[in-house]
Amino acid sequence: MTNIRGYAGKILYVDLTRRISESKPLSQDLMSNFIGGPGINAKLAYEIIKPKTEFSSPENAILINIPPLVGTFAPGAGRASFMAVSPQTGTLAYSGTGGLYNLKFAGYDELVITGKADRPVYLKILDDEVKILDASDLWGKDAMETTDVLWDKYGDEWNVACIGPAGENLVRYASINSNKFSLFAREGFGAVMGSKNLKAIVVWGTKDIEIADRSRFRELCDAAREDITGDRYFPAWRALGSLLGLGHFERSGLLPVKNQQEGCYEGVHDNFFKNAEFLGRLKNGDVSCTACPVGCKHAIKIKGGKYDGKVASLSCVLSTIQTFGVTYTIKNYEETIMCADLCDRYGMDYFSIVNAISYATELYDRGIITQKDTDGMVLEWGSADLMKSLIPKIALRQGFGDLLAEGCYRMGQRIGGDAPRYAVHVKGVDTIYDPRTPIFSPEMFALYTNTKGAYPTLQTFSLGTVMSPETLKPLMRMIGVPQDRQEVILNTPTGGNEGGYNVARLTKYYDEFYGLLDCTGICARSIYNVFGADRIAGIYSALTGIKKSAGEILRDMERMWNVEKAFKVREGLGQKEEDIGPKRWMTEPVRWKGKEFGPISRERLDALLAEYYDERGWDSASGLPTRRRLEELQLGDIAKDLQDYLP
Amino acid sequence: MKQSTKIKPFTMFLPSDKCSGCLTCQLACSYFTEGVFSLSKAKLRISRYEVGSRFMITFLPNCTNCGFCADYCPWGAITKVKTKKEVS
Repeated sequence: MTNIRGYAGKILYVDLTRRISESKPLSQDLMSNFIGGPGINAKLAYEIIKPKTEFSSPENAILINIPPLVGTFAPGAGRASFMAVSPQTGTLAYSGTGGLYNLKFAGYDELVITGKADRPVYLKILDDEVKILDASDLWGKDAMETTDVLWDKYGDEWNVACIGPAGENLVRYASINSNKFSLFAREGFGAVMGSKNLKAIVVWGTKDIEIADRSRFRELCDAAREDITGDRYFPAWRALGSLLGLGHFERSGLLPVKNQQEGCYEGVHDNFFKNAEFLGRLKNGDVSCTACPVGCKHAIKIKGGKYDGKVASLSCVLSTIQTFGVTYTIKNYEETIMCADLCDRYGMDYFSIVNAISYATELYDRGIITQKDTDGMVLEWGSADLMKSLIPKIALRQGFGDLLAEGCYRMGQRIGGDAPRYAVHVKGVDTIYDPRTPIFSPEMFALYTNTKGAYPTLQTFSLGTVMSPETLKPLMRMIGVPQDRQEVILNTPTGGNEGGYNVARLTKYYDEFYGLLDCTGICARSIYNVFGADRIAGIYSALTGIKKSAGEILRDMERMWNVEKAFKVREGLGQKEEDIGPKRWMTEPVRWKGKEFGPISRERLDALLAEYYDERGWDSASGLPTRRRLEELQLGDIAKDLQDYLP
Repeated sequence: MKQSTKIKPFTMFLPSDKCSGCLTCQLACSYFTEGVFSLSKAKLRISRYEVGSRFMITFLPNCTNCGFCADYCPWGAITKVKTKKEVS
């Protein structure tokens, strides 16, 4: 180990088949060139996971990284990073959330789990003590019950990350629940844990995290905290959390309905999901990730009505409304919360389950599936009772639930005929947004280009917002777009409704700035926009002693992005055809508020993709990385490895 | 002042159910008293109640009432009042 600080300095490897564990030093190369989070995870995945590994294979590796700023008082630095081969994409994918910070205090930046236990187990980590323990009494319990049992046994300061029955039954969008309020929700990693017979990970640690330059680190963190708590939106963020965005989402047409057949209905924010009801009848308290002054997660306790006294732990109330409330049109606050709570208990992602049921409902409306396929159930938009009856059936893969558990892409493949054309997904992952919105943006374009499927950057810089040069210039400076590229982005507009700039080329820099948040552990909620690339590089340098400028640390992010792409290229994937998106986005308009918004034509998409690939230094025609760019990013070994695949 | 006597510069109060479980107080405590970040070396603990959804703060006997936890708590869940009282 060198004199680098801030990192715990070790990787813990656990092999569930052989029931052994071993710790190894975290190399200086991984720290200095990949920073943490998905950066280190992607590089390790490339080395550990063999091409074409199935998600449920014992050879698949779970990679959990606790990024360098997590475990310090850097405000908002609480996000852990999870990677593995996903049951949705069939290749390397990512999810991030709060929790599991104790892994770092136990002495590990990274946990790598391979193999498959011969019976249900959970992993217990207490500093150097690593045990694989019997979980037969936990198997079948829901995520909240499992957490309670383990907190009762070990104490509630321990971190618990566990799956519910959906993960056990390999539902392709099963989530992992972390300390009840945080979810590794997207990409189906709960099924990866389930495939390994791994019910839970529990961890506590007593080790120290050292700081290279204590006074500088404190000074920078204090300034960032003051900027956050002094922000004019801070009180509203604290009161409402992510719900603060609901009105903007509605006004900007960011709430697709009924499998993206139409834009959102009237009165979402003002009539059906009122802030006053949330604050007065539903919210019982705020819950934070580590070192977060905002606390956007909510303890719920319903006062009055049908569900009086009901308690729930919600990670993101906005997602609850987006999915159950808007997409499936369950126009009742309490019922959406009851659906979300049930989903959390069984352990499934809200977006994917609602998108799967919405897809099935559209197919039912079109007569492509009938009551013969649905176990006699009538699929009816807006029915909370239907939703609540389907959630357990899916988690347990019972009857019609077994089909829905596959997610919309594979449901379409299984049903056949005309069904696949109505499946809205990219690379096997269903989507949160519809790019046929009134205002296109890099967040929308990233739905097509993200190597990990229709998983947008979680930033919201320009979501539903027309960007002028006056607003773009400071934003581009903040996220570290090089000066010469800023000029190009402003002077070569892509001509859509996004405004006068190049949406495709800017997306590259959004990708990398979002990567920087993930790799250092900082939350991407807009209240954290006080963290520009310069500030993050400064905080990272003060913590670790590894001196990085904004440009240098963003180059590390570009390296990460290329490793993720390389992982796919090695599997014969990663070509442009993957980035084309669903037929619906390309061929059908969507109606909203009496207006029609046209599809994104193949011609426009081709032009955007060519510019995006070019900005990345990739081959504009195929979308594949070039050997030259990989070598420029000090990825010569990978370039050599991929020589048969690269143009 | 006797050698065994410590001055506790502040009296600490836990005014209400405001804690969100962010642990900033523990991280500040270990930073200022030990020079590192450590939850186990912090001189206060955060535990859960109401099925894990609410949080309770407890000061340990080795707390010196230095007040940094209150300074860093973004939630107003810990407050301090200056005192000159000597405590042995």
